Amino acid sequence: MQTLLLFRYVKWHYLEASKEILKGWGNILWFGFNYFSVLLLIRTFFSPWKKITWDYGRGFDISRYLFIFSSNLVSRVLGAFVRSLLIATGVVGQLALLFLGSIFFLFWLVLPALIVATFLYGIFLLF
Amino acid sequence: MASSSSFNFHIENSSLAQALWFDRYFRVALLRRIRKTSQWIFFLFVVLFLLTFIPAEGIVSPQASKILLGIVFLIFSYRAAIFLLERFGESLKTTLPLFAKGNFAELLSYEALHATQSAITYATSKGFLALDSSTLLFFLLKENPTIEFVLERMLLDTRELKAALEKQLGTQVLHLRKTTELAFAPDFQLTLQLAAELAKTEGHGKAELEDVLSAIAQQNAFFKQYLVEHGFVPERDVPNITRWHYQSRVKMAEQKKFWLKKNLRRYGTIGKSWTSGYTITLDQFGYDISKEVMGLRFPRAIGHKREKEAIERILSRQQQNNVLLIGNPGSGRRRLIQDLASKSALGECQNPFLNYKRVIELDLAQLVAATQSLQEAEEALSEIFHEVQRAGDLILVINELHNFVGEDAENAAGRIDIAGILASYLRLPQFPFVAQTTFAGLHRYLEQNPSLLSFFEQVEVTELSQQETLQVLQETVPAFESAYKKFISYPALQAIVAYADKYIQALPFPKKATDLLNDAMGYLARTPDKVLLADHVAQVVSERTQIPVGEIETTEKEVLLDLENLIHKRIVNQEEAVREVASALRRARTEIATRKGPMGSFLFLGPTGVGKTETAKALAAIYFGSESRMIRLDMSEFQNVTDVERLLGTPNQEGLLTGAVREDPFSLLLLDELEKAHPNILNLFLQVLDEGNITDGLGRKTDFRHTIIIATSNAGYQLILQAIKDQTNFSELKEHMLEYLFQEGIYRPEFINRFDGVILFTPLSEEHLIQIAGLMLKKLQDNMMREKGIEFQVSEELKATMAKLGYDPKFGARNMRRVLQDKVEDSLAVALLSNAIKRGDRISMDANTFEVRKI
Repeated sequence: MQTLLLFRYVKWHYLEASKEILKGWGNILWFGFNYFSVLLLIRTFFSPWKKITWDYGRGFDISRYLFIFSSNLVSRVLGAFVRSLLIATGVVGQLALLFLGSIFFLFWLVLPALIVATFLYGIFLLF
Repeated sequence: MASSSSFNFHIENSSLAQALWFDRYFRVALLRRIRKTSQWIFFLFVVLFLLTFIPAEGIVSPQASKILLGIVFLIFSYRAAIFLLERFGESLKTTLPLFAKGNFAELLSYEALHATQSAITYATSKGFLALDSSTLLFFLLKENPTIEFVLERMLLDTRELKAALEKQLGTQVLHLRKTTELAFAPDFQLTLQLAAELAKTEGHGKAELEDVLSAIAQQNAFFKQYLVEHGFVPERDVPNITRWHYQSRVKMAEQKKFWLKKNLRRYGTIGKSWTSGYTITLDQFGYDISKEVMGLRFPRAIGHKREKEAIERILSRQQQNNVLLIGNPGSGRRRLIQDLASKSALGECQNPFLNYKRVIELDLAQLVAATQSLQEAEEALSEIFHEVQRAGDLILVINELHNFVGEDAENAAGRIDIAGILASYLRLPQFPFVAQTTFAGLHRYLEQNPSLLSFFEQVEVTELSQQETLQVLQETVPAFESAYKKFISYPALQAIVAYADKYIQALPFPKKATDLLNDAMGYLARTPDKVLLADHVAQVVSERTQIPVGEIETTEKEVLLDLENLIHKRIVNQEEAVREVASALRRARTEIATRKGPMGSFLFLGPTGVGKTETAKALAAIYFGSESRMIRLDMSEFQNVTDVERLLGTPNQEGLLTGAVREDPFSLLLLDELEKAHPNILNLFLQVLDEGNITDGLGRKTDFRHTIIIATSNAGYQLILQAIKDQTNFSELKEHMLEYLFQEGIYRPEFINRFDGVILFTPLSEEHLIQIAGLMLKKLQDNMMREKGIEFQVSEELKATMAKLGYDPKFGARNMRRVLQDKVEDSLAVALLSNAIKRGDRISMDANTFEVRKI
């Protein structure tokens, strides 16, 4: 039973639990993307800010046309600018999550060895 | 390991054998406690170690610093090792089952298998011949505080139960030789089989502790008896409460795992709103239901599956995505909208189009109040609708739409008619809209505007069942318990559902039950009691309805057993009739036959003035506590087919029948002179007598299950008079009478057959009339003593004179009351006013002249 459990432990630590950690990490990464809606913001990058636009109205008047065109353009530029801030925050956040997740995963992989090492080092320091 | 020839149960071959072995050497629960305790020691040493870096000479020597670091490393390695062992132990418990082997042990969860193994070890060590379900229950209780908690919720004394079980274990049959293998008793085998079936029904991978407990409650004779003695139905109540317990357990475990998508979704998104439009005016007059549900931790609606699906389906459409939610206040309409808002916020809607939408309720009353003129209000409304359409991430809700549609709305203060503006937006695909209304509102106002109604798809919100309502209550229990710091027992929840169903009909489920729970907790808070019991609920219902609920529940049996005598205290003669009513009511109340109709239904046949109405009054007073609990309808007022509306009601007026019964369902309904009602009106009562309910003019179901219906009729009374003359047998007379009624077309056989009893009232003899006079005079006698302090002695002659004067062959004893008033009461009044008699006097009355005399 003991040998069987030892094999079982190795399988659990390096396969099952690792898979679970990766899955949880994946969920957190998904959450980051969803929270900042990076893809949606990229897709609607040049949409007018808060859908604020002005109607060109009936008839053609070049000055009015240019004025409304420039106003709508400002709304789009403003939208793109504000969205780019959120996209940047989202991307930085994702990178941070990737980094922290990698550290944690690495820590998990070496944890059995780390337990032995800290135990031996602790003994060494004490005696 | 123990086995039985036909029952394959081998723990050692099960996939959880390793987990059991592991737990024997590394107690996972103990490891967890050690890890939690050691974390404080770890932090302490880390802090001590860090203190060595403070640049002050002499605080801690370098040698001490080295030792502290060594200790920190050792504690870290120790804690990390324990953590790994603990997690590994937990993972072993959730191993996938090996169904191929057909081993029954595979069907049990780790905790259930652990208790079973302990039971086997114990039974083997004690030399039991067979392992039964009582031993299993004992170890289930002993090893799992969670099971103890379930039983405590049922107000069962677990110590007492364990002691009783232990005593029972002492009476087990032992084997003669030690070498004989332990067998599995049939009840143990059936318990595990049932537990596996229950687990499958509930969608559990393996039979959990709760499934095993439910199975034991149904298979173990001792436990079953114990539960019945404590007022539970094992097959119904134990699965109910264990299901509740299991769901809470799983929910709590899931909430701890923050990394699950389910939990992460709760934080919503910030990016999505950056792609939608501003809603400045709407934000001013709107109430954000999405925000509300976030604060409530995304509540979900129990039941109403069909309604939830319909709402999502309609809102997902490209065209006509407008829902009209029709239901009575309290039927759960708002909860359905909260459910939609929760699902949308969590991104769990079937159609992704509905996900991450803001659900906003427009407060039209506030809008009207905030604007100066009708025109201004309409402009603001138009702007709001335009914002909704432009924003693209909204679902708009308007409550009680009928208040804002039609001429009435236009003329009423604080309202406007929005039909015109709304209609122009309802056809737009970017305008998902949910309107709430009631059945009355729909019929009275919205149906007057068919063009507006055609933009909606209607979703009718049905009333929740008692079972679903119980689940709703169970869901609210943690919040109530934490707010009031009181414990809510399961019998109290059962009482809430039962009493709300029986005594409150003006509101639908779940509202009437949740209101009652709220009231009961308020009541409990004013008492020093710590646990909410069924008695507290009865008290609250009594206060609200003025019905002595608890008393009725406990005295009902006594009343039923002694019903004849109790009625005869008020009714003279009519032994046959009273006996029939009493026995029919006993049959109905003990639910010997499966029935859906009213509590009891009787047709009283007989001439006028023989005690039909008086019997009904007596029954109302005895059974429902007061004569005022009698709803009396004179059926001669319903001679035309158009009178159906008066009985059942219309959107404009409450029905005389349905309104009264909805208001007071626990009452006696007296239908006087039934033969005079229109035949179509009698047909209405076919369903009432058969199904126990009827739909009123507003589409609401009115429940008659807690009503006694008595119809009186003097049709064919001549036959009774003739039969008395001819001295015909009573049972023959009844047959003869019914034949006559059918032949004359007064009642149809299918109508008569739906009554629990057709009862003949015979005319009264002189002796009976003297007794009736005696009863009336006794009342007067008591009243004189109580109110005036005068002792009124009633002679036999006076009774005989009253009987003689009061009897009329046509009206029976009906005149008796008039004689009492005109002769007896009048004389007494004159004597009192003229001071001929005063407090402390003893008086009598001359039987011939009705003159008052002092004795």
